Amino acid sequence: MLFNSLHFLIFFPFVVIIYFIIPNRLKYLWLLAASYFFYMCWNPKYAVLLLFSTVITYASGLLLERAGEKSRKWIVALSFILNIFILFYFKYTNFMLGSLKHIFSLFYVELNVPTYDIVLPVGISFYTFQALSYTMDVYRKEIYAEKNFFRYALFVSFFPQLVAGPIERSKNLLRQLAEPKHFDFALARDGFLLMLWGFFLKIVLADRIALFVDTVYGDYETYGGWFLIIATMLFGIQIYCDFYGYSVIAMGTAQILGIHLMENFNAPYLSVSVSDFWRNWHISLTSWFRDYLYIPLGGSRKGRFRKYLNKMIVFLVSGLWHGAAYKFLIWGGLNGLYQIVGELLQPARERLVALLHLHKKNFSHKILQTVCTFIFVDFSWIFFRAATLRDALRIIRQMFTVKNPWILFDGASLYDCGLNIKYFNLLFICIGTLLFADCCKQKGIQIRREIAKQDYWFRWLFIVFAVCCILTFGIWGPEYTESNFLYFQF
Amino acid sequence: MNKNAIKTIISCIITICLLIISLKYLTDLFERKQSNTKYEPFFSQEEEFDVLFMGTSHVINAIFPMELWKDYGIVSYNFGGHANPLPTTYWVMKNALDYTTPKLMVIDCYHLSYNQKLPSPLSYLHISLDSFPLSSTKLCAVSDLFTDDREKNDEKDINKEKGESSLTLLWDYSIYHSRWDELTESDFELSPTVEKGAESRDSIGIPNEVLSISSDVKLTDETTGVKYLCKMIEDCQQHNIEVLLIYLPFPASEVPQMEANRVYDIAEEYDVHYINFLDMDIIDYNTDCYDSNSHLNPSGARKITDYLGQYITRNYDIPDRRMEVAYQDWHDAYKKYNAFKQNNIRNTEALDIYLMLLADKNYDSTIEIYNPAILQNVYYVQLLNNIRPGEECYTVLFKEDADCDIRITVTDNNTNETIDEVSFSIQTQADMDPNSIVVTEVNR
Repeated sequence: MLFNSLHFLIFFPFVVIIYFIIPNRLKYLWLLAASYFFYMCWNPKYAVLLLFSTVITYASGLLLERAGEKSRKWIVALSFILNIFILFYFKYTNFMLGSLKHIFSLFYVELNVPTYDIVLPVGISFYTFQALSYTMDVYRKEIYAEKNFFRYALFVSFFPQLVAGPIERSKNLLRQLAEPKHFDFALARDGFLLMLWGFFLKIVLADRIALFVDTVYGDYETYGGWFLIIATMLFGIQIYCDFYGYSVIAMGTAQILGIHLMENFNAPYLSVSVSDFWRNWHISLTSWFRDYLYIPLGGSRKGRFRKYLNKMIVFLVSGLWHGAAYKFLIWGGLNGLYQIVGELLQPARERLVALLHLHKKNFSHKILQTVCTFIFVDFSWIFFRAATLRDALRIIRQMFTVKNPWILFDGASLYDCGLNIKYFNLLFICIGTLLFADCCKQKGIQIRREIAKQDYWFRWLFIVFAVCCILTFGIWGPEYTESNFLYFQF
Repeated sequence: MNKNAIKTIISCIITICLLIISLKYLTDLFERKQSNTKYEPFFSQEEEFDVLFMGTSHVINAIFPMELWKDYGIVSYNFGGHANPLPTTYWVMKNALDYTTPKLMVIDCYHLSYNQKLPSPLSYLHISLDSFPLSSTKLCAVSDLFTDDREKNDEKDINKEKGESSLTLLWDYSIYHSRWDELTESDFELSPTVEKGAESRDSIGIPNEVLSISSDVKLTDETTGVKYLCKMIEDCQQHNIEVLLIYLPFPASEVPQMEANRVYDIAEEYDVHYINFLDMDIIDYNTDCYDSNSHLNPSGARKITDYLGQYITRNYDIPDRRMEVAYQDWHDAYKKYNAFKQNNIRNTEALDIYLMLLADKNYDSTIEIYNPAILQNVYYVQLLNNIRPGEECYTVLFKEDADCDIRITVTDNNTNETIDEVSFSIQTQADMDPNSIVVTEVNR
């Protein structure tokens, strides 16, 4: 079930109404049933995998509390191995077999490797990581093991963030699931506004940008040069709106139910360096890797070389987490490399700034840093968006070898790639709105709170205006095939 | 309940009401206007309609309610829908009956052999149903029209698409909201049809070959079309509405002729009248069609409409409403319709279509031919003879210094006003195809 589907618009109000009618002691059971129904709408059989992962991590939590120091390591290892094995089987089997075949072919050995028709369970990477974080937290004695199996099962399967995050921590979510919940109008209104913002990002911005990006990337031999440059810039915004939109809808949905989910994005494109970008982009995943991979590997405690090596490992694994393909590996590696090179060049950059008498605190300097960061990050998105690594390399070649700057000025060429001039104008307005919202966020201004402070007539009209704009300018309805949220495949 | 809670509830109710009002406005604004244009005069009339015409595009193009009003005082409406199979026609009829109870239902039986319920493309269904407000009948229509096809189809995606399509019929904003970038003046200012649901198509087409089969060869299958035709007759009879079955003329292939032959049995079974125009010699397929399929142009439509007017007056108790005060606005409507017809004549530059449009008993035309070459062309002679069948309506004058080849003056025979004076210059060569007369100049 997608958030931007009619099914969800019927499902969610029904869940909310029943949730606030039934007694507190039954609420989590109701949410658990709703979450499994939500998941099974996609494929009922794969709910077994979700249950299996839940049982393994639940049992390991209980055992970890009772076991001695020696066996604790074995228990946590077993929990990791079983969960990672499932993830590996469904996500990486074909990739590994293909890679083996490729490696052997380099030595002129023909390997007859079959290709398996394995359907990737939706959200498996998300709920596996969430369940494993619980095991680790219990192992580290940061939390007590959850005794109530059903409450724990709800933690793993909580429907707002089940299929595309944010990857919640047990410390935050489990505690909230145990607390009694009463309907809070102000909280629900805030959640509703969050959902509206999420729908705006997803169906007005991301899905409309996709029309242009899909056209250009789908035929990059025809659309070279500036077509690809514009498409790549727009893809950077598309993927942000797509994933941020989903996260915001998830937050809003949970908030209406009285549960706070963590922020997954914090104005990432206003970051002044690639490291800064990764502190603000997909925060729940980045912090997961930091806490459960980077720090256990030694973090920055074991010298500069190990620090860089650890960083590289984290970003390569992060790349593979996003998808079983070389292009994701390169994408992850590139982002790791940016940060390492950035750190290595830090003294030289400092000297250059001093030499040129630049003022680091000036607004213009920050803009320069933000633009440079966007260019670096956006360049890496080429590998993310291209169908294969080979396509990505060809796209880069096409981008820099085809000279066609006139398409920016002839008033026709750009408007023939899935978006006419009216759609482009609409996009500029919407991107401007997004930029404004991100600037406010960075300055600590919460627009929702500002709206809530206004007089009642303004609040009424704002909600009506927002809903009408989303419904009118959004891409939805039968003419439109509900495009899956991009992050579902990970 | 405390004061704050009451305030909150009121606030929510007001917001929801404002939202519903805004969405209603946007829905009306963004709607594709074909359906509104077609049905606006139907919904705006408070008085009952006496006759409704149901069927496909054959009906839309063949029956002109305003001509029936002018000549017979019949108050009727044309509900023909493009490519409508009989189940769709059934539901159009059911929805229409929520708003009026006619004395006579005229049903064209084309598509009797069809098993599908929905027209193709589906957008035709929107033209037929969009304007009907949401009601239990409309809900039943959508539920029924999408049911069978869905069961028969194994393709999950197509089913999903159909499920979504059914939503668009109940709330068409879900499909039209993307029209925001194509709104024009006509979306803000509706211009309803002056033809009471009919559509004139001013063109002349060369029809397909006319075949003829024995009247004993009939459709024998109990198709979905047959089932729904029977349901229509039964529903009408339950409501004491008389039924007239018709099969409108076109160069029918074997299957439509089998359909037309089967309707005799159905008419007999239900004891209703049936006119099979395929067996009649009213239409001249050389002058009265606008395409090869073949739909009728205004010349053909006026012949069918006139025949139906006479038949209905003779066989049914349909009142002549021309003198009734309650229907005085139909006289105004006729004036608009007449002005529309006259404008069509004035705006026509092709000689053959011009001659076709003159086949109207409400207009007199004086035709002076200065270039006899036109009379050597079979096509134009047929069109000239079609203006007043059985009479020679033109004069051949030989003038060496004539500044044109044919001059036509058209007058309205009710008011004696001159509608149009036009002269055509033509180019024709002896060695050229006799049909290749080219109009080189039109002067008014």
